[in-house]
Amino acid sequence: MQTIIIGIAGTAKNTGKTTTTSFIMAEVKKNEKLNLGLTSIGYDGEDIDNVTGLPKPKIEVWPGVLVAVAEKCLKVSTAEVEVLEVTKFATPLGKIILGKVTKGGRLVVAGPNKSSELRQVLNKLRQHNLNLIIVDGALNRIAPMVEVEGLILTTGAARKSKISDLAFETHCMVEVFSYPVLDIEHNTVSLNSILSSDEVDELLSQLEKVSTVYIKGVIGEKSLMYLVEKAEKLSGKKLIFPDPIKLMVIGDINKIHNVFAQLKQKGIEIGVRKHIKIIALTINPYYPKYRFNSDDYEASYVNKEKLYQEIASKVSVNVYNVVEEGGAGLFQDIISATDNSL
Amino acid sequence: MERKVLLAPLDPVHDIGLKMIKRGLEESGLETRLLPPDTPPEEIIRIALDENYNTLLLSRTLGYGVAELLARFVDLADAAGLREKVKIGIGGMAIRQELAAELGFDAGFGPGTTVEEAVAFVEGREYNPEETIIKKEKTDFTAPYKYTYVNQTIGNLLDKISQQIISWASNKTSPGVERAKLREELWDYQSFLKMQESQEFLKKYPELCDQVPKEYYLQGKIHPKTRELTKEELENYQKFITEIKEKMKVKKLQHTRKLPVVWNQYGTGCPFMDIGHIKVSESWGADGVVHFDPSWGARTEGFLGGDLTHQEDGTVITPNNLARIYQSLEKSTLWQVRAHRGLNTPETVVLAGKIGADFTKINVCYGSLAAGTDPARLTVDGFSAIKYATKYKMPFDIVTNEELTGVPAYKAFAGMLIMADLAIKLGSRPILQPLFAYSPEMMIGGQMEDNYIDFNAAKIYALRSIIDAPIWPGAPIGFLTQTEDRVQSSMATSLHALLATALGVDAISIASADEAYSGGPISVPSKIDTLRGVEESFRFLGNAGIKPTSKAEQWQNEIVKGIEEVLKQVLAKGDFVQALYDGLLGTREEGAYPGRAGRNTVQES
Repeated sequence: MQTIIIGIAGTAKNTGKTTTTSFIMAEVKKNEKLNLGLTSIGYDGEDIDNVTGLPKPKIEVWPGVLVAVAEKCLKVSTAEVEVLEVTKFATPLGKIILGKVTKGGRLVVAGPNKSSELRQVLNKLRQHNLNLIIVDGALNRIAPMVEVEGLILTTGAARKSKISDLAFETHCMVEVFSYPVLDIEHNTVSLNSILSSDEVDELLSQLEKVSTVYIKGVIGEKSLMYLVEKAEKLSGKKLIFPDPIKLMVIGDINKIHNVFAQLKQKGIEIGVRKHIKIIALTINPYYPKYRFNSDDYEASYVNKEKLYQEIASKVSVNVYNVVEEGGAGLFQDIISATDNSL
Repeated sequence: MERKVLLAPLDPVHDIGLKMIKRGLEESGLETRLLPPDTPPEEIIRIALDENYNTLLLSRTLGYGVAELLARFVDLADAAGLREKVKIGIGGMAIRQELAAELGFDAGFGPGTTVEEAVAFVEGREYNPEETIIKKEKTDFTAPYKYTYVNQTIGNLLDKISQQIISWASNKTSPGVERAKLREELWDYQSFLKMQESQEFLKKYPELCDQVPKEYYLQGKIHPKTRELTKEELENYQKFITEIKEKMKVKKLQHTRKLPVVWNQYGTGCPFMDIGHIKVSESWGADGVVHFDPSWGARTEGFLGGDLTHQEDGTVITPNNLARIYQSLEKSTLWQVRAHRGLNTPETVVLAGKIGADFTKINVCYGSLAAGTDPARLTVDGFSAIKYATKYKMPFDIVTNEELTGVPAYKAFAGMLIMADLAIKLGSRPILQPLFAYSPEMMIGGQMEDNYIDFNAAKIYALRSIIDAPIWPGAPIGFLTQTEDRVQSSMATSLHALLATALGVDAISIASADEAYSGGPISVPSKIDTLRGVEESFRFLGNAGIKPTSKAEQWQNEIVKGIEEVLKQVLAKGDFVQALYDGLLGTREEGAYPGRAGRNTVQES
């Protein structure tokens, strides 16, 4: 059986990752034939946000769902879980366990929070004949999502409450995920991460006779700016990264997108080795607004129609406000993307 | 394998925490390097990779967008391949394990993190918090005292007054004394737990009770102000205790001194809620908890039975309620059941003693002048109660709350010392309980216009100049200095705790921050407010002191002189009970009204 693994990645806290997860789960639940696996790279399903102190959406699971969560999650959940395996992967909340839900209820989900461990946990989950595995995200974290096959990106006013700015940023993100897949040729120079100007200089010193530069890890933001200054040396060559996520983690995505546009203008071909598809976007008009007087947060909202229109007009993927329209359309997109073999 | 630790403050300024951890790690033989504050994330990651560190410890105070900043760091480290080689921990004042998990770290170190915890993380060992569990034991703070008189004149006066009380009370009895006797002779705690109470007891007991308890035993009627906890509530109650006991950890408030012992009272009206409060008190460091009953209970002859709850201050004394509460206590928690003021005083001592209380509370003078019980009745009952306190080895404090009605301290102290001397003669271990309060005497007399220190210090100095006996200011300390402002209220309590500690007293009772203004049951956050406040006051003071002004000594002398005068008058009267009626220990003008409950119930035995 082919198991589809999707990740729910947010641009910030409170952009609707858990809500999106819940809506997708609700669609899965309607189809009794589907076996679901669930994990998270963060900490989801708690009552109160760890940072803002505001109430959070909860995750409800039903019997048969397979979960990969830290041991301590089970103590604070109302759902009952039969532990199938205690893995060696330690988190601040104890070791990750694989378990099957035996009694439905609320589940706090904190799973493996780094790529290497997520990969191994997903491999274990895969062995249980699951149709779909959902990896819920955390805050603005995205690095471990390199292990999933398709992403639902959630964004909203909690990221930026100025809609035009948010729409532009979302456009940049979707663009970064659209960079082409490029092959590594024989005359390629490969480097690990580039995290200083010295390492940029070292790279530039090796460019003679090579047509392609492959950065296996990440490039730091300052290093990237330094590289742009010397970009003419790279002209006519390919600059390849492992996947779009390595670009997302560099820094401010508008700036990164702009820098890559400059590099392209200077005749450098930018690409990735592995494509990660954004299946759809979900948007959330909610944001926690800081109150100076009481040093706490209150729930606030931007105009939801305007938010939808501006973002939908700037991206090439479907956009959903799942709270308004439910999860059916989004789930259909997941199925379609699956059919097109992610 | 050699372990190298890189420490980096992801913060423009703060790196104190990391410096402390660094020292501890080095003492454990680990190689460390601390980067300067504000080193850019990519630089930290590069160094960690290039120099082959095994562990990276970061610190950061939380603020605007910091969660996202930390998450970005983790992402960059993950994408750079650092996470596969290096464990990353995050420390900071706002860090909790849940947040660390959410941010993507391998461990989180919040306030109170020990060096051992950090070393265990670096060495890949599971941290065993058992090592740091506080061992707490019950303290008998009366043990060091000899109860000898420093002031022989007062000692001699008290000796004669006590002899008079003993000879007056020895051949008298009351319904309260008879019930206590019945409870003592026919009621057994273990049999009660097995639901095998003596039939003889159940037959005879109602005959000694007022109408309401009588109807409970004979017709199963519940007191109109109360209701029985439902079966479901009792099941939840049991579940709650089982669950909470599993995760209970006690704490100590004291810093470098062992005393004072800190007491907290419960008495929410509901035994279920009481246990919640007790568990909070224990978790936040109280050494003892005090059970108090509703005021109508003190005016009713006889106890009810069953699992009773009601919406009034004070929790109804029934064997069920006391037993449930007792069973919920941690082994190290001292338990006091107050018996001091009403018609069930001796029986309360017997019941509390049989169930397992450590302390009780008895004062004839307060109970009969300011709490509504007839002086003759309470003298007979108090006399009996003290003997049971001796039998059950329960020290008791002698409260002087009549000061709150306007009785001057020296008169209240004279009454307290009469009770103390009587208790000593009956083999008990009494504890003196002067009020630490802004009492009406102070408000009218102006002794506290400048500060709250001098007069309270004068009280302690005065008592110490009279007798070698334990002192437990209360109850609670700071009475009438607290307002509805929780910060002010906690501060007032904490400062009074500071003073009590500086004066070297043995115990204190503290109120929750909302106790005087709660308008219902006190709230848990307010309870924690003062426990934390008092803890901080102990930390602040250590073994240092507070210096009162010369007024303290002046007032000390005045108090001692006043006590001596009052005792002379009581002795001259030749009748302690009549002295109470006649206002020698507090007049009507001072707000002391001899009580009426139980009048004409004293009989020759």
